[in-house]
Amino acid sequence: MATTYQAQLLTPEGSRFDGQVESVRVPGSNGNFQMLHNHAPIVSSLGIGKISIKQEDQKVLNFAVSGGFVEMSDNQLTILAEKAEKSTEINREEALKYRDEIKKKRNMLDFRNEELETELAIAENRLKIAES
Amino acid sequence: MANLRDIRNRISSIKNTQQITKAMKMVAAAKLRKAQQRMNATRPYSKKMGQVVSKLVSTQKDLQNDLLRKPEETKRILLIVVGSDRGLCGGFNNNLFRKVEGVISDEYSTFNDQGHLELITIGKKASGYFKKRDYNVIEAFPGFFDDLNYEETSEIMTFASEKFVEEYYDKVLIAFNEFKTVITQNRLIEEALPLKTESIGEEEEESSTNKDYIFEPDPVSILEKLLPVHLNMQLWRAVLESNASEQGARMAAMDNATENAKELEQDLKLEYNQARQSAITTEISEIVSGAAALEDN
Repeated sequence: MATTYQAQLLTPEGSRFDGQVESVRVPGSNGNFQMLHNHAPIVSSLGIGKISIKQEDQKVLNFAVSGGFVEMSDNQLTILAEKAEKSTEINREEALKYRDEIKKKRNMLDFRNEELETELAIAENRLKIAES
Repeated sequence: MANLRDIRNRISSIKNTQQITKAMKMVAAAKLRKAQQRMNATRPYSKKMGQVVSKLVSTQKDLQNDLLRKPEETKRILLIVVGSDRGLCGGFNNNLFRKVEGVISDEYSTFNDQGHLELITIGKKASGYFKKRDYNVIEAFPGFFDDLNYEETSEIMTFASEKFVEEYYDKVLIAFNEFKTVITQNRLIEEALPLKTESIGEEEEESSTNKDYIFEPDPVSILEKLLPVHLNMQLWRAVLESNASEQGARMAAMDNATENAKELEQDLKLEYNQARQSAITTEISEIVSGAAALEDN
């Protein structure tokens, strides 16, 4: 059995996960990476994507995030995210509707709006994670 | 002397009031518990946040960031006032507003006269108060606490920090009630911007053993993302503290009101009984004198 370590997922509205994990995969700003036991001390910012937490009992929890930070040292991992949604808590219909709304809004503009692009990326990400 | 029925009516209306204030106190107590939980829930996040920032600052010297600019002179000030949406919470709002007005007239009166002091008000009471007194309120958020969420709060702070980077504002202040205990609040006016770099770094100075951290992608871009969030947290904390304080203040105010109503009820009961007694006495003496008059015949 692989060695486990302590991990936490914190948001301003409270803790979303706290427990022993085997591995955590995060969407770093420069690409996804995975952290196992005894990972070197690291601080990284996160992009839009999926956090996968593999727990002690091999169960995997997925969260949708749209940015944040991860810090790991001494086998203590902390993820700071302004918002983290559990894959099982996302309502797929609602996420789909939201995405289409933004798409419609984008199609009405004839120039590229960066804010809208980011919003769309976040919506796409939520939808993808809800489906997986 | 008031007649019996009047007093009886007053007693029953006071009893009603008492029930209402008592119920409001209970509601406030329940809401307070929730507000406190929310407040505590953010603590680990903001603590960790401070640690990460301090790690960055302690390992990297001379970090450059637009939010870290130190204005040489102050031209324009933004003041964010956090009040409440509802009244009936004692001096919760008024004490804070009076302090804010005091600080404005003491320190920033010239800015205010020139219209260089801009206000953002959170909560219906704050919005009403400062608008009525002709302050330069650029945006008001009445009904903010009906659906209290982090996103809306961070939008306000993002606006402020963007304007700070653009060198429109040179100072951003937050005025709010800090939660001390359930019945006491601390009225605070905090300086959010310009950032005090020393104060962010000092939190975990001893324990931040100088390990070789990997910074992904690099310290400067992490800081660029971290500082806005750090600022958002500051306002979020202010809003949550204010929310909890409001419930505490309301609880205390309603408790007082219930006490006062009880006292009043007792006084009225005494008056009622006295009136009743004297009415009976008059009646008896009338009967007795009537009987005596009959006997004489």
